[in-house]
Amino acid sequence: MKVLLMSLCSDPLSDLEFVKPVEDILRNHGISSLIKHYSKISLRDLNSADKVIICGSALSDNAFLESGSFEILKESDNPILGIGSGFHIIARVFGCNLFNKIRIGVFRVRSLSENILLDKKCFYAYFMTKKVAEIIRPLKILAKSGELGCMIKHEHKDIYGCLFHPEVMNAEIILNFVLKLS
Amino acid sequence: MGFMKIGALFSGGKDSCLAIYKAQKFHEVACLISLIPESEESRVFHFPNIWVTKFQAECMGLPIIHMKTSDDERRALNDLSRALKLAVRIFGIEGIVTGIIKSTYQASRIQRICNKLNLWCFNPLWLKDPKELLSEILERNFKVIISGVFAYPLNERFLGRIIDANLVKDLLEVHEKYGINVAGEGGEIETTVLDAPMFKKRLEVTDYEIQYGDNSGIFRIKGLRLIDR
Repeated sequence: MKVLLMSLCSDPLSDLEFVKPVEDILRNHGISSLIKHYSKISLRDLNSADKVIICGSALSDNAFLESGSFEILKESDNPILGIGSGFHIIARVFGCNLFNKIRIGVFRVRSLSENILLDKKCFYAYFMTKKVAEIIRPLKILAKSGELGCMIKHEHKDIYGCLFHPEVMNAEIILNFVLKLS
Repeated sequence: MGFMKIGALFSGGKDSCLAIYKAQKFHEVACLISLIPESEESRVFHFPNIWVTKFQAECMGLPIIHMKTSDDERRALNDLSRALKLAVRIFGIEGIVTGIIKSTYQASRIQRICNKLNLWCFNPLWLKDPKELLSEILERNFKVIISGVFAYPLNERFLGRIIDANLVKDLLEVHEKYGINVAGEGGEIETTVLDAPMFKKRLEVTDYEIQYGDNSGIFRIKGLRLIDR
């Protein structure tokens, strides 16, 4: 199993906060991973990994939205999970508009449909975001917090997004993504 | 992101010291910021021996902002906001570093304040495994004492002990039997750092008092001296 952890952090100190916790969850379950900064990732990297997780970044960090090009995500057929800022990337790549809305802290989330990543109707999750997305096809909303779409999936591909940070309170989402999807 | 000036939220314990140590690899820690609660009931900030932070700052060669803070949560957060504004004005900080490990309560409140003040917020110990954290403290030669215990079966025999391999073993036993977080981030243990890799001088306790009862106790430092390394 090869898991690629894509860092969106423009500051390496933030990797300890947003990438290492995901790496630790995987390592504690015997799964090794490779960490690579988004600016150095090619389509070949995406295709050579079994799973790709796009990790979050600091609230102040918007460099990836300003300078990054993530169109290669559309060309990959491998499962991808975007967390926090990674959710923003997936939403934007598939044509959704991002708009400013602050959500920081623990909030209740309710599932709208069957979700292989989490088998719960209601749960609590830790949010830390300044942006949310207006979800349009080919993405669909799997779960909402209030009226906010916070878990999304591509209609036909194993591409998922979590606006909240599953590494904080819902580690099973990360493990199910890595272990349950083929 | 380039090198920036940051402030460190500083309690004087192992977590805030380790966070500073990590932050200094990438940024200039321009000042320390310590909030001193009015009582020991504060949920937000650590208390025992907070006065020692002034001397720890001297050991690191860093200025420190000391600000008294209310026990009332809302007012305490306003006090933190005022302290950060002061740090921006005096030291030109663009961000802060904290030693928060797992508390979403603390993390979310501090993130909101930083967002309002347009400051970066770094939490380099976030979700760090408690055993790994203690191992790193030992590997990096931090000299840390237990200065407060607040949960059964931690008792007065832990107070004042230096965190070494034997103490870690004892804490792990307590963890396995009673489920206590060995890093003490749930408030079970408070610590005070006497020496660390970024200290230019080290601290030696010359006088202390142990207060213990009802499954909680404090190793109250009453006298200190700074020793050149």
